Amino acid sequence: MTPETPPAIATEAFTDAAAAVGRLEEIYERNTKFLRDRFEAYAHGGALTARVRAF
Amino acid sequence: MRVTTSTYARLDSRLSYGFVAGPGVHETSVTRPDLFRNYFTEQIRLLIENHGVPVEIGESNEPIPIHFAYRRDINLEASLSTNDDSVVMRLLRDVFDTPDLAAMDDAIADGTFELPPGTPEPLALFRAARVDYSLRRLYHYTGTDPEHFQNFVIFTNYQFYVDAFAQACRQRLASGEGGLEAFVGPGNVMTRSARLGGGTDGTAPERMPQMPAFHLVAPRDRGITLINIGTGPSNARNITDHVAVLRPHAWLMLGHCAGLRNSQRLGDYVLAHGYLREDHVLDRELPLLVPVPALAEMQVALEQAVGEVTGLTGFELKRLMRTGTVASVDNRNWEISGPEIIRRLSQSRAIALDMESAAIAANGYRFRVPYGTLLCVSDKPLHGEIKLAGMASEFYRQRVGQHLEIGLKALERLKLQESERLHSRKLRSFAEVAFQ
Repeated sequence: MTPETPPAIATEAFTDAAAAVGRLEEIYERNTKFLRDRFEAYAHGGALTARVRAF
Repeated sequence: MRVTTSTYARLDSRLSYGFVAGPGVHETSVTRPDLFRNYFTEQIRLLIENHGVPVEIGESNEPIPIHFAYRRDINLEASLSTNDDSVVMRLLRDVFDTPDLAAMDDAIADGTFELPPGTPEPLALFRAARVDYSLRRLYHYTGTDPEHFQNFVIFTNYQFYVDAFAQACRQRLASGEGGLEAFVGPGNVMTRSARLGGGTDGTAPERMPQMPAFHLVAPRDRGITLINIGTGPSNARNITDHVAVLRPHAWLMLGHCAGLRNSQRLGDYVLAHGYLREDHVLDRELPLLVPVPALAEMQVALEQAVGEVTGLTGFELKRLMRTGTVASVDNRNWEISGPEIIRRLSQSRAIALDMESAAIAANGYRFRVPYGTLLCVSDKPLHGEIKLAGMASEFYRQRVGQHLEIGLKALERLKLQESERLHSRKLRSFAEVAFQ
């Protein structure tokens, strides 16, 4: 069964350190929120049809 | 996070971090970029500057455990609508990724990892899951969130130091001293500087955590954290296993010890130049054949701070402070355990004995965090002066205040140094990771 994951974000090269960290924050915030949203739906009795995964 | 280089970088040989050991692909997974923003920005900047190549940012192939999608521990099981624990855990694991202990070991730091050919080399000592694990442990043990931890850390084994630190910090904040923002204690109770409007937020916990932490917060985390780790090498190893993921610039043990020489007096200071590791909490990770060296930058800062606070210099300083080997043991009742340990202590030329310093120094060495130890003699069991309740409490209070002041002054001196200098090269192994 294919896990449900957030849409893939393409790896990108950065030459500016602050911009690189900005991207880390975007990925981290989006992916952890994805998990939290699905866990909360699940905890309140929502049916999940697939495994949930984010990186 | 990934960096790919095709040549060896020609670098300033004084550097200890900020570059990869050789050509190839180096990568790591990271977590909490909000918490580590300054640290990551600096590490990435150094990689780009030192190698002239970009740094790639993308999603890793390491699933985020559901527990770590939350910033604090939450009781996931209790959040679910069924009360049957076995059903809950099965369902949880069927749907979400849960922490994988195999992804959290310290093989990189310990130099025991083995990479299959063609696998990227590590870029940092700790991968994301290991960091996430420790961030939660830090809150659990210290009662404060990782956001409040500062880059200069004092460990102590005595409540008097906590009281003295809290009092000194509150006075400095009430006076609106520049460069300080707040004081934070267990429960994340925060008292702001009078310069920033003052006031206190938060509620102290009903029960103190096991190793309460107190933070004198300064911009860019350059303030001071003090943690009362209690007694014993197990605590010392435990807390340093977790504080290490925050990559502090220095940690210092300030505590009480037994003086082993007849010429020492109660209240004298001991600056550790070496350690007799009889605590056995890190023997597997850092075999006893590995010396834990004294770090010149730390030793000099501590000795100068003792001189500054006591007004003694040169040969006179030797009246109050002695440098030498500190023995750390795992048996608090060592003095009634027969002649063998006394003989070993004499063979080692140890001048003082405690239960925490060696573990803190050894774990600093292991995790490449600069370490130092300044102890105060509180008893001399080999010479008839044993520790008794209520003994000389006024004397102790005075000494504790001075001892703490020395520790704080030493850290102020370390703050003035370049961090490339403080993070000594002698802490780094042959094929070292790039991150500080």
